Amino acid sequence: MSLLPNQTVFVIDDDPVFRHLIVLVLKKFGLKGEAFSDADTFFAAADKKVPAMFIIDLNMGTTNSGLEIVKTLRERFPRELPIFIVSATTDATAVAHAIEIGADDYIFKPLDREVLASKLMNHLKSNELAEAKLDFKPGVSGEFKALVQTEFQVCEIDELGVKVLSKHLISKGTAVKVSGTWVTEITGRDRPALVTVSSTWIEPDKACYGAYMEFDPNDEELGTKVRSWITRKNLDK
Amino acid sequence: MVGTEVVNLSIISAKRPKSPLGDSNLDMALKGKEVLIIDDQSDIRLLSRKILENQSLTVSEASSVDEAIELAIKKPPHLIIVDLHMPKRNGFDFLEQRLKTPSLLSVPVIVISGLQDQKSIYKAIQLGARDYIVKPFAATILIQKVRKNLRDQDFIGYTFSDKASPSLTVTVNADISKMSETGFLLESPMKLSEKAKIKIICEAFEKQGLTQDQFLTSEKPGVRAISGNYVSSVNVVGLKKSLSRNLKHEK
Repeated sequence: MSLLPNQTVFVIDDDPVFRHLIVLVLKKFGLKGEAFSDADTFFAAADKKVPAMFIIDLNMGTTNSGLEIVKTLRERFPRELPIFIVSATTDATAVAHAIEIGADDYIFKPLDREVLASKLMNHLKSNELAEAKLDFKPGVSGEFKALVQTEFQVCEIDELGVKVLSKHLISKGTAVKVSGTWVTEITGRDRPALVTVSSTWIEPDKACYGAYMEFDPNDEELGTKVRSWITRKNLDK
Repeated sequence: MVGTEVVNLSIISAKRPKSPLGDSNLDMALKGKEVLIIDDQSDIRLLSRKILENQSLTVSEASSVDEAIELAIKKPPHLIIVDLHMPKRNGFDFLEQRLKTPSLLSVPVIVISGLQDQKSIYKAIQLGARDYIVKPFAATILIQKVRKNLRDQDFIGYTFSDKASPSLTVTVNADISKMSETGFLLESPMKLSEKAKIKIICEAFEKQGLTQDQFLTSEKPGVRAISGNYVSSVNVVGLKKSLSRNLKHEK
């Protein structure tokens, strides 16, 4: 399989075995991997030559160092340049946070070549597709205010909030409105409830994001209704 | 965080949520459980103490990290609440010290942070904090977080089976910019996944007769913009030529 021949991919990881392996795998896909073991040489190289994408290890010895690299890259390079992070599946919240601050996708260790191949395809090829298809005319710059609605799956509810799963990721700290027949069933109100996203993570088995959304703590009436709904449900079990 | 905390004193008397099953034995689950509060400000310690003692909890206080470590090692509490922002050694120092103290590893920690300080909160969670509270906080949120983290039997929840999981419609604000003949860019706090059907409520679109089954995100997930939001490219499916022209010239 050949993606975009001779494109360079910069990899940073403090583990020499992984560096060696990923360069070999990238070569199989027709990509040229350049691996770095520390942030200084990595950034020095990126200043000289802009690669087609970056692959960053999230756990580089000290806490947060991978995150700092993602953050700096996002500030320095155009947002179209893909950043992948590599991490252990146990770092579910760190992965979601890296994506929140600007990484585009993730791969888990140990490396699964097929997963990596399909993700590389998505990000390196779709860039071309998107550019060819969408011809954004300059001069059509007016902005519209809008509301976006998507569906999330609820997996748990407790007195503080709900745990949801989705293909979409909402930043921590975002206030959102939630609605639907289930919300009406609990609240008895025909209007959305206000919640705030307090934590996010990756669900490695389901390949989606998880989020915990807290209810408005000042809405005592809602609190009471949630409590009695949960109690009824548990009694029905 | 010195001196100017806004604290809502009217909520000291906040009652524990009423159980639909009646109030008997409600306090038993928390009775005797000990909470250690670490904060350099005595008024915050006093307020938190009052709120928690009202819930039948035993409360101890420390005004510095060193004092807290000494107290907690002598008698590990069931839960620790620590303010992240303190002069000299702060909440992060406490969390780091806790990681090196085996007897405290099993004690859950809730951190108290300033408003909108997501970076500090994230760092605290990386350092082992289990939960956080943002200042100024209401008594109800303190009580609920404490109960949740003490695994209070009376803190109830319900888990759905995969099949019975209800769906939730989530709505966020967005800006639409850069229209083309086939789509537009959308900026919102949601990083939308690729090739997803989404609904967009926008007056200008309604005027043009676009319907909700016409919006599909592009082949690439949203990307983070400088604003901290995410930009997604959205294709409009089934656009007629005349409409496409109108859309382009809208505004």
